[in-house]
Amino acid sequence: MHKRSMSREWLNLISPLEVVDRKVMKLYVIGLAATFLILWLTVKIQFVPKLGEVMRYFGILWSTQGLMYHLLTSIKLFVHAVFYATVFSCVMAYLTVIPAFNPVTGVLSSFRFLSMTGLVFFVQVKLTGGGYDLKFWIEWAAISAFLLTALYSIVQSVQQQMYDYAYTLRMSKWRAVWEVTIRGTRHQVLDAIRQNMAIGWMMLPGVEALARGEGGIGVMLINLDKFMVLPAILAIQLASFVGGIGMDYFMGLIRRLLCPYAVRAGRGKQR
Amino acid sequence: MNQAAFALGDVLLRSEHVSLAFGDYELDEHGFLKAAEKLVLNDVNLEIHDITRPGMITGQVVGLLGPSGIGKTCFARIIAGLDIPTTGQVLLHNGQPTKAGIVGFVFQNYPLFEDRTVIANLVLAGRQVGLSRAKARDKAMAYLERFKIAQCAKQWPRELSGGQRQRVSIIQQVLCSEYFIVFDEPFSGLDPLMREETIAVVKEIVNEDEKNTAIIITHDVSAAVCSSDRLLLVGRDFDPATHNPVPGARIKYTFDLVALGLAWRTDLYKDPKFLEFVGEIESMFHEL
Ligand SMILES: Nc1ncnc2c1ncn2[C@@H]1O[C@H](COP(=O)(O)OP(=O)(O)OP(=O)(O)O)[C@@H](O)[C@H]1O
Ligand SMILES: [Mg+2]
Repeated sequence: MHKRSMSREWLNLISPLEVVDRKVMKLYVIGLAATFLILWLTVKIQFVPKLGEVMRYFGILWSTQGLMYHLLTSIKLFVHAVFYATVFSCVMAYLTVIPAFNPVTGVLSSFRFLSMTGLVFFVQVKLTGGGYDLKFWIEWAAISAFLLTALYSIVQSVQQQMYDYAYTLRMSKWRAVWEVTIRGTRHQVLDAIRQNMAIGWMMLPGVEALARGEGGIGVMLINLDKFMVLPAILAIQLASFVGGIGMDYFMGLIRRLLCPYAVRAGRGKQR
Repeated sequence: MNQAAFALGDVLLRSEHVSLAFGDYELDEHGFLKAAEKLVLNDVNLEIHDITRPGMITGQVVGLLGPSGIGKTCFARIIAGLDIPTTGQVLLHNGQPTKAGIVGFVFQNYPLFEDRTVIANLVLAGRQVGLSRAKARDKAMAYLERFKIAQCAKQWPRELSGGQRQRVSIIQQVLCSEYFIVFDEPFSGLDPLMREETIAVVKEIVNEDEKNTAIIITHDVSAAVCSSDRLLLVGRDFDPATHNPVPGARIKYTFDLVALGLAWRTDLYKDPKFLEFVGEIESMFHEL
């Protein structure tokens, strides 16, 4: 009986819209990763360096080229830009509950269609700080444009009925904004920040290439690009990947902490 | 139980010449769109009296019946102070115009603050009328226990069943409103047993205070008859020449269920008079 239900679980794995047992899913993922690793270790594919080689370069870059320093430089710039982009986008999106701000935020969010290169010119002319400031503002603008769009749409999609509901509980309009627009959407807002962080992290090396003095993952990549040392490039990608995943995981923890009400129901529960 | 012994007291709520029109468009003689008005409510007048019976506390339950799209929800929202009518006004017992919060409103889909637990939702409502946190909590727990959902107190709203959610919504509005609560379609999607329970919940709440009054909007004629002491049928007039409805609904018929001997009874389902009356009202829907 137990055996039959287990085979059922494995069948669920390849059936659409099925819920799969946690244990089965875990086994499946471990198996998948193991297969992938074994293939990488043993089979030679053109242009794809072997895992051992990548790890060897990772060690070299870490100990002699300051990979950790560059990674931390990137993370620092990134967190700085994300923080200010988040504050700015939240303020501008929440402000759209006031009609006068609605068109302002609408126009600002449409700036995501501007070209980054054009923006760089503008920022360069305006800033004498160069270096860090240039990178910061470009990264800030890039993240803000998309984050603002996402948050704007979250705020605008709050149902009028939720505000009416707040009024039936004797809340003022400002209180309703706090309860419904700000408190009530925070899980969506955190999800949007998390998604846009991923986009921003992907754009970061390109931004770092604008001013190379301080280094960073992007600068390392550009410098190595000339030599076409594939395993080294992959090693840096690996560092960037781990850094990105780490920050995403951290955001996941924050979401669980701040939005216990929106934690997804356990897989077992749905049945 | 002496049904006849009752008296009409003060007017608790008065709707004076309430009309409501929405901006709309229509085709002019050349086939172009032009601005027009869509009249939904036309001069709705209503007085709800305090009904008193010697030796007992009797709240009021008014059933508002009418076909779909006629304007019941619109009227209810005006009563609850959520919308302002185009003309006319709704006054409360103290002569003050109605105001959201003073009159409670239980929405059809039972919204709650999803980021607060059930008990936190209820405490919030109690705090809104000046209760201390502890007092609000006690009151909320007492209601939860009375309606047999105390085990839900610590749950998130999304974990509630439809029926549990309805009760929590009702309790929340009870804690926050003064005497009036409007229910928009409280019987839709309920099985017969749940429907009876909901009627019982409404009656219990209404009979907590002499002035308590529930206004129930529904399509469900038998539930309306079971729960109410007064029935209002909302409908439009018909053009005698063309037999087309004239825009703008009003209260076309009023039934005093107390006088008909159909109010405040627990054995109503067994009474043939009840079934006959429900059939009569249902057939009247054709003329609304
Ligand atoms: N915001 C609005 N703008 C324009 N027309 C509206 C608006 N809200 C409601 N109406 C119209 O007013 C009329 C009455 O709507 P209402 O929701 O009050 O009907 P109802 O009697 O509650 O119907 P139901 O029983 O189906 O809920 C409908 O014809 C509807 O189209
Ligand atoms: Mg309605």
